Amino acid sequence: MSIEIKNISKNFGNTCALDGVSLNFEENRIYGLLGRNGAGKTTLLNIITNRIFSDDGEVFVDGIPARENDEALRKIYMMGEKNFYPENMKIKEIFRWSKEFYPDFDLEYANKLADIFDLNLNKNVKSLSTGYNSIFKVIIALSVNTPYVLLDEPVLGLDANHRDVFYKQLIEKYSNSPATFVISTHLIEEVSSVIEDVIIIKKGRIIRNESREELMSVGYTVSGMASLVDKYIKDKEVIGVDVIGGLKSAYIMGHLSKDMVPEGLEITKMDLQKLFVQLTNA
Amino acid sequence: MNVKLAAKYQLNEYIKSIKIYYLVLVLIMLFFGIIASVERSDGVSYFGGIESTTMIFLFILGLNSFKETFLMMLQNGITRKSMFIGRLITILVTSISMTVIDRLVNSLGELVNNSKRVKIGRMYEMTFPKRAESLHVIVVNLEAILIIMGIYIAAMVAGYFITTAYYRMNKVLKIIASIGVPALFFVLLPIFDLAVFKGKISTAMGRMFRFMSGGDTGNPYNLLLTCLVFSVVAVGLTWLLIRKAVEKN
Repeated sequence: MSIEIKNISKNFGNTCALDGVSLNFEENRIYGLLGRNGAGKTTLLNIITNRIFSDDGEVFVDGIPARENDEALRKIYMMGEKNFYPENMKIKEIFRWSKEFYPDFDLEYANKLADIFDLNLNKNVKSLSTGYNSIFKVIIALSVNTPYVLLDEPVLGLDANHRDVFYKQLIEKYSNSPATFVISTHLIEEVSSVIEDVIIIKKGRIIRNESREELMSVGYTVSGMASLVDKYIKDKEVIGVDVIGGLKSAYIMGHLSKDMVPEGLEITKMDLQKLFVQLTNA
Repeated sequence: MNVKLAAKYQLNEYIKSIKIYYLVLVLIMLFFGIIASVERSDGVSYFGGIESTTMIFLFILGLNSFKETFLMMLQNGITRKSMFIGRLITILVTSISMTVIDRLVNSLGELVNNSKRVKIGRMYEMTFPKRAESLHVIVVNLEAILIIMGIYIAAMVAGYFITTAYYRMNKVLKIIASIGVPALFFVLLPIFDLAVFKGKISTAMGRMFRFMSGGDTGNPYNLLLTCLVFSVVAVGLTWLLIRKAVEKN
């Protein structure tokens, strides 16, 4: 049971948005789909959900081709950055229709979340602020109970409190009724504690696709005098360097053998955001 | 396929507008009915054009039937095919229902109108008067329902086709279509026709229009056939436009 993406390519005019992307979103995992602006994250999610079509390649949902297939598409819910709901529709009506389209939609839970987020169900979409526009879609995404939920910038416009509530609710939901969540976001530091697997996309290509633990274990930072650092990194896979005065920090991919670290150098674990910045800058 | 669900949603979109439309229509009828009944002159007042008004209303309804629904369907995992078939069902149901409602509203107007000083004009009877007089009243009603239904379907389909075509066009094409098409038919063609063919094209087009609408032969089935052929062609073209439509939100 998975969403299988096979060799997907997409061009917009002369711009290549996706270049032969192949990957799997396995059952009941939380994925972080990370990439810089214009890397192709939203394009990939849009292709999975048929909002746009790929030029090449195929998407399968639990083995069923997803292109123009109701059976496959009803297993996926995508919360997009843009609003696809009628602007004049009230939130309570949207919830009602969500129940029609997705029979497993938990209306009671959605109303409970609306209370928690302090969302007025009698408001229509166009009267909501940017934050509440994200909130009502997040609530649907958490209540929809489809096997696959794709979240594109779910915390867009949310204040720190609401973001905190969202992450807590997501973890609670995932613990109670597991599903596959794919979170595409720029706020890597915040999401890093939630995600289990990391997919990094750069200029339309997947450059990393592994578990968070695995990825974090193969990256570290070495800092110290520039001459010492240069000597140390000579035979290592360096993905980036920062130089401030005579001090240098190098970001290294590979396993660390602590007995090999010369005196005067400091070794620190690389956090996901640092790793992401270095990988996507390289 | 989620056709049933797509049709239910799309029909629901129309219901509110249709209710408002009939409320306004009935109020207007009552207003003019009251004025006519209290009027002191001996003349007869005519009230008609309900079907023409409904036709325009349905055309506008068709024009507002694509973008918002399309995005909502994409959001809720409904395929283009299901959405399209659902829309066709909606168009059929709406057209049939409104044809019958209009017929009933007209009949009700005649019943309520005791003074006989208000005459209610109906599209079928006004367009094909000889035929309406020569046939039995039941046949007239059935035939009228059939013809008006064809017109309503064609009006809705035309609106749906235009709005879908506009959605698919880029900015340049939209400008060309908005200015170019009216300019071609209402300015360039008449000038060209007058200058080169001495009005023969306009005459031929007029003759063709009269034939297609059944105006020259008095045969309403010409009009029905025209509406059906137009609807089938427009539905086919609309599907070609929809099957590869993507979000442009």
